[in-house]
Amino acid sequence: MKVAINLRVNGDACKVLVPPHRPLVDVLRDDVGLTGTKKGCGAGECGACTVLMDGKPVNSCLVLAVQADGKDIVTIEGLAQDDRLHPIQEAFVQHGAIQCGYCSPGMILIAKALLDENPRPTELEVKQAIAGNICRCTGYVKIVEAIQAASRLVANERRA
Amino acid sequence: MSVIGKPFPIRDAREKALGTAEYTTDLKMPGMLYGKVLRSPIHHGRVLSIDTSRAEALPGVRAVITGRDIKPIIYGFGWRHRKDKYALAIDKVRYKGDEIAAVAAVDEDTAEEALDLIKVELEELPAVFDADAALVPGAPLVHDDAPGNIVKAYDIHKGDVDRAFADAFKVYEHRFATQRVHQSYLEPYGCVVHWDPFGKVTAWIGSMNNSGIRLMLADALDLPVTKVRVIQPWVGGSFGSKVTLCNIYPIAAYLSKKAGSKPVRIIYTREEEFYASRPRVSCVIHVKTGVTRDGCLLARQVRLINDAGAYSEMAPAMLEVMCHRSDSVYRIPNVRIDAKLVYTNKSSIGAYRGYGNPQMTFAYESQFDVIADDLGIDPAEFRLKNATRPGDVTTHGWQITSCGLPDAIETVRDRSKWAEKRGKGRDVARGVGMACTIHEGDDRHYLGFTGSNASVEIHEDGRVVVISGEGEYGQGFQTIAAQIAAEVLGVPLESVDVTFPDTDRTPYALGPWGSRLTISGGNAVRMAAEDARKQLFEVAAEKLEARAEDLESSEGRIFVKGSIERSIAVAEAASAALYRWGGKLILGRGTEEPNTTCMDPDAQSNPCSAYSFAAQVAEVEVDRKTGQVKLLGLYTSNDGGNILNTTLAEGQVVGCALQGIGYACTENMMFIDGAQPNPSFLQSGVPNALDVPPIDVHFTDTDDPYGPFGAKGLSELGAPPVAAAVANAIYDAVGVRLTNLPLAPEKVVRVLRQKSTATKGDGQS
Ligand code: FES
Ligand code: FES
Repeated sequence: MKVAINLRVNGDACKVLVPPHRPLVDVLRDDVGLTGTKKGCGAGECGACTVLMDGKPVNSCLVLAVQADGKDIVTIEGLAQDDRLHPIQEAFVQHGAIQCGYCSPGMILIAKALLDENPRPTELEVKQAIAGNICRCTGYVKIVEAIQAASRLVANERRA
Repeated sequence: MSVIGKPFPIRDAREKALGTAEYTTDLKMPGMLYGKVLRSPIHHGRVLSIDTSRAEALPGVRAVITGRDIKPIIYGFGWRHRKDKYALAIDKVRYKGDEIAAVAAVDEDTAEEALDLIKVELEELPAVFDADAALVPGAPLVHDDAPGNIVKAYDIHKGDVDRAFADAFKVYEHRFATQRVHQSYLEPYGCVVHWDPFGKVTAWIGSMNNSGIRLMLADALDLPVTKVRVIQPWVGGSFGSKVTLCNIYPIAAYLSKKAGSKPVRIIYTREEEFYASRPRVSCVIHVKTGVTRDGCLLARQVRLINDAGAYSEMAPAMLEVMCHRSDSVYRIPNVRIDAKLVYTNKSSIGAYRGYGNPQMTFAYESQFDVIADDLGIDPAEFRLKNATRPGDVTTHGWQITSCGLPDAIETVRDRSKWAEKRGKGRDVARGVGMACTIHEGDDRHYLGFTGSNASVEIHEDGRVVVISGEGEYGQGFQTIAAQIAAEVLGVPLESVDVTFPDTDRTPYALGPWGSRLTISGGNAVRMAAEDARKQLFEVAAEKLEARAEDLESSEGRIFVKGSIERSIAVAEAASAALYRWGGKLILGRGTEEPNTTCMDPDAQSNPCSAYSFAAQVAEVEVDRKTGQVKLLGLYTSNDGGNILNTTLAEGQVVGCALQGIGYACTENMMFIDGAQPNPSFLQSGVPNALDVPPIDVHFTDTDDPYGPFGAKGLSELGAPPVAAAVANAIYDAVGVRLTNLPLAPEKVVRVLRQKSTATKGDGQS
């Protein structure tokens, strides 16, 4: 039996038919076709599947698609505007925070959620915010630097 | 230098940040089916019968295969090593997770459901999970044709160890043990394989060893090699693991064929990763070392036992390196190694950053500190005194050209404020410890081609395309290749593209292992770019009415040396070359073949074109009550030759070091009677951002005579020294020696307790 749900993904309305047990990550990747969201474990342990649901970060492998009915979802594909990277994406690129890139979409979105709430986080606050997101390549150091650099960029942009 | 040595971001960082980089797990094709594998629920058994009829009848199922549907071909890793594996179990299952059957269906749920409908009858056999137990006469045999469960053994003797021990001032003996850990790359194993109606198999595989995978897959499927095409999409990490054939590749091929030539995608779940991939080998290492009174190493005798798991895969090749690599860190004239690789009923093992180096370094470098302590010599001095130096020919014949080891030792000693911190520990429970390592660059394991091929095209609009089959999984080779080509050709980095490996398009390549890509792949790209530049300058010379040898190029223009106004754009010269009468594309070729000898621990050989070195100091604080070890800092000094890209180099060292920290302190794939209680990222102890201490990264000022622009490999230097450095720091802090990894709190507490109840001597655990 399938259930019809309505999602708003990166501003676009989409209607999908899903089995009730299907996690949001699979619906986004397979049904909506947005494969920028990654799946590293399917068990809430790695954060690769992080998306923003009504502005809050969630592990989309732990959210059933039916629970997301009527919600506003932002995935990595929804961050850049036209050709311009979001400042967090830009900072990740410039600071060497990306190696294999498989954790990057989740990391960037968790960073966005953090900076939306706390525009000038301390180093410890950054580390705490991303502690549920695993990166096996970078050793996190450049990711933390990138998020702090992004916080300065975002603050400057707000001021401007 | 305008491009080399600069901190450029990894070249595909934008696609990755945008989420548009397509990994194997993201691929979808018209008509694509989803594959799932039925794995053995028991550790060891005979396959009596398999009934797939109910699974086949399930609507949505397009193919079900078992050992009956495959060609009975036994394959293995490369052509030099033991072959012991079928794509699907034919007679026996040998570990819990062994592949028995597979299904392709229209979606994952249906495939999953179909697996439940397959009825398998197995006759359970006694199993063995521990390498020591597997060696006991009468132990269950994992493979009938491997008596004593021995896969491979070495007995190597250089110099005269017995005599040296007799002459030694003192001889020390210890036993060390290391655990299995998983590479824990974020993207699991995966593939999409299409066996087309004309008999060609195209495989998109998240490996980074395309040519090798093609050979192994063709072998497993019994196809001519050109009937198999392997394409590499983006790869979400590997660290060595994905270099060999995974059974899902031939399985997906057979499913594809049986399902009427539909592409089939199989992706490992994270649990499958822990049950059925190729983690780091666990070892037991007995070390006996003799020294002179003033602290010179005289002799070392080692008994090494590696637990291969159920299939040999890469493990024999790894044993070969492990049994002699670390003898070249220091000058040590006499060595003897008895090394055995043993089958057990566990999953196979594979490469993981360091290729056996973290294990041996943990044992040797831990014992080093015991010796230094006993002799009353500062461990840093002890290391400097014995360190290998440039120009040395080591015990096994390794010819050391560039070597920054002494510099690295002094650097971490000074930057960590070693003298201030060392030996202060016992009351405040803080301490520092040091460890060093060597790593091979581009080791030769056979006499055939071990180099790299590349070509460089210059197109009419000035675009440069580097064509190399060397793979990339995020470590940065494509960026380094682009930098090398840009530097040689004098063009901006942005005008260089690097192709993804595709065996139908890119040249044969050995792939990223043995820290070989910068040095071997990089040299091939340098040579190809030089060849292209020569052709380009010939055309430019005609246009500029100058001699080719009087030309130089920078920022996309070619000049006559000394007269800047006589110049022509690279694009214009390339365009002229292509469109004129008898024109052709500028196409440079480079083939690098290192002048090395085949690795042979039994003889004297010089298998690498360069050797890299590193030293580290760890600073810890130990909580005596809880046994918690807090890493206050890790100081690293790395000899990777001349550094081509500082951002990437730092990223490689720090990322590798954190893997080393996980290995040292928290990570452990546990086995209890063969069962795995912690098959997940978190339970197995993979570090998160809060576990990262301050990491100081330093590069020695070394210029390698062979590497491109003086560079050597450095991606495997970060991990090997960590465990010993931490164990040595714990000893400095609280006076106990841990000899089993990981250095977990309960072990620290146990040895502290033993120490306080013991009448004398240091506790061990
Ligand atoms: S895939 Fe969702 S947390 Fe790992
Ligand atoms: S960049 Fe590879 S996992 Fe983070």
